[in-house]
Amino acid sequence: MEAETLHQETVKNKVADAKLFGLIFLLIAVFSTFAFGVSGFKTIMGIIFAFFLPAYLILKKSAFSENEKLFFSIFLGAVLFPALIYWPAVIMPLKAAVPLVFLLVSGAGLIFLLKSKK
Amino acid sequence: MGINPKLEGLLVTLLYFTALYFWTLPIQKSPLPYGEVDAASHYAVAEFTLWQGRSITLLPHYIDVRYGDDNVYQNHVLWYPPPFHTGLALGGFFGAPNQGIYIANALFSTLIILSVYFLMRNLYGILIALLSSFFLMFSMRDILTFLWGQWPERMGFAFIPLVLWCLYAYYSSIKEKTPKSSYLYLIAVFLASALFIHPMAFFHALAAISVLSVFFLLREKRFFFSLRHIVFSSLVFLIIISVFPDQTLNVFATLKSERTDEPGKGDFSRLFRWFKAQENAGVPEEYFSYRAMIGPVWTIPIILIAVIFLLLRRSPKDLVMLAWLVSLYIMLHLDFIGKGRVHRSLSATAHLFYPLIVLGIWFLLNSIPVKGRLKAILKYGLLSLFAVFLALAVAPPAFTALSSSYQGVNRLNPSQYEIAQWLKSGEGMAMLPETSRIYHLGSVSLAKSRWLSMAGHHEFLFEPNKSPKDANASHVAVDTSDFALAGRQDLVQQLEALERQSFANQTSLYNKNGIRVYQVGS
Repeated sequence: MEAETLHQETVKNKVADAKLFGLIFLLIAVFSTFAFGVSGFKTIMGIIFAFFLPAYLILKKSAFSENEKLFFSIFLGAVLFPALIYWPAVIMPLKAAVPLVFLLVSGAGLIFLLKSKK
Repeated sequence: MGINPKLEGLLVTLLYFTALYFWTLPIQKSPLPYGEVDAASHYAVAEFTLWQGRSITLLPHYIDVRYGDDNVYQNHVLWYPPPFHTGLALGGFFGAPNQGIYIANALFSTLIILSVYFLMRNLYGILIALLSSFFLMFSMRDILTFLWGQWPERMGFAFIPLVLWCLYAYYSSIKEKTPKSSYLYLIAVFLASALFIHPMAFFHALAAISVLSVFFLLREKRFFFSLRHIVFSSLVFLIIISVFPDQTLNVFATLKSERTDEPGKGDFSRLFRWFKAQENAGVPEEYFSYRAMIGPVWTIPIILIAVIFLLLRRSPKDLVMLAWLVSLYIMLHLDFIGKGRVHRSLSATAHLFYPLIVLGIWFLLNSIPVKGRLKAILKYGLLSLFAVFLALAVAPPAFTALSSSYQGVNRLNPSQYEIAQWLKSGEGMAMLPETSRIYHLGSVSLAKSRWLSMAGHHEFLFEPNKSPKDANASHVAVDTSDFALAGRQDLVQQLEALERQSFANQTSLYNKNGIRVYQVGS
């Protein structure tokens, strides 16, 4: 019974977190389109997804607290992703290097995530 | 006062994007690039990366003629490690080139707001953190250096609060007998990141954790670090920085070749002053003014009160703030030994001063000798009052600076941007080879000519005291666009008369919107 309540509580928290992230995402989307138009929206979303997401996936199952994971991901991503792009973009166009590095780093993050779940 | 963690997420998002909105006002008004010569150089690296769709290895000619020697270790390659400029280029890659570069730069430059928030939140709570970051949004020294073009430095400083937090967390984990080495490894990663972004930020961060380590060692009276952790984190640091060897080694080569006779060397009186205004530092006098850059003079005693409180209590978290202060003092006084570019370090002051102001007020309010509900009412009431007063003092000048900077002739005008686009087009490159030296006749400043160089992928010469021949120019660009924009018809006519006299029998290679280009040499 206790385990079930705990499970329900966890699900409830996850739904609340998803709602919060949704709301924050919506806020950012509205702001960037309003301030910079569609191209600005693409820049901001591109940076958030490409820089932040892979770093967050890598840290997701670490022992850091949730606020540390969020903030560390922002700062790691801001340097890590462009650093990882530089050398591939010497030998291939940015158009190929950006999705390739994004997929590789996000893939690494997902593997970390899945492995730690097991 | 507890703030719901969910509400916190929303508040921080609002805070950060409000800052982003203000800091991007110049690019919201016009998509044309702006800034001083430093801005032009950072823009150039990002823009050329986008233009050729690949990373830069060897510098293109128009960048090389000015910055080819800036990498002391290896000439003709990037002088900064690539992550910062690649990040800017990615902003343009995802969106529109100019706008994307500038939005990415604003996103990076305002990261300090988030990192200060992060540190203060974890040390002193959400309210202190929110207020500190809120005021930081209006830090004039940060805003001015951001507008002028010291872009990487703005981003680099954001790593200082992070390394301080990591060291504090590592120390706390040892005190709790559950050592968490991951924090030391993160310090290594963040230090390497700071080095990649700007060497000065790296040295500030290194000084901060060195001082904090000494404080913790003195507190513990024993060496509490694990040697194994230190060795591994040093290895992590070395492995990361070896990714860009030419630029990393440039940092050390530059250090070796740096001047050691900065003004103020050996001047003992400097040690008893926070800062002394410097002449010929390339910044306006108000840059050295506390009142103009940080806030009203009444905030100075509040900072001192905060420092006294911190000194009296000396809890580990207080030591973090004190170590930050002492390390900043050291970095600001490197001129005493003839080293450093101390006026540049001054732009890291507000990151610590605003949190200290908020802490000072908070400590004072907490010592009000009343109890219960009345104390809470008084505390939060007075805190709100203080916040309103300080905001009214710091926000308007910041808003004015951001909303009115680089208008008119102070940034590339549409005619100049058009010729820049033409110059780097196939037609422009065919008519003016990339090694052309274009004498910029009618330039209003060195920055303006530099911007044309960087946006147009050709070298523009700003030599008002030399003739085109003496400047060894291959072409002359007669540019009346800025004078026309400023409504100075007299200067336009003067320039046109000179043009008629000099190029009477010549056909221009380019003639559009008040700008004409003539060949004068080969």
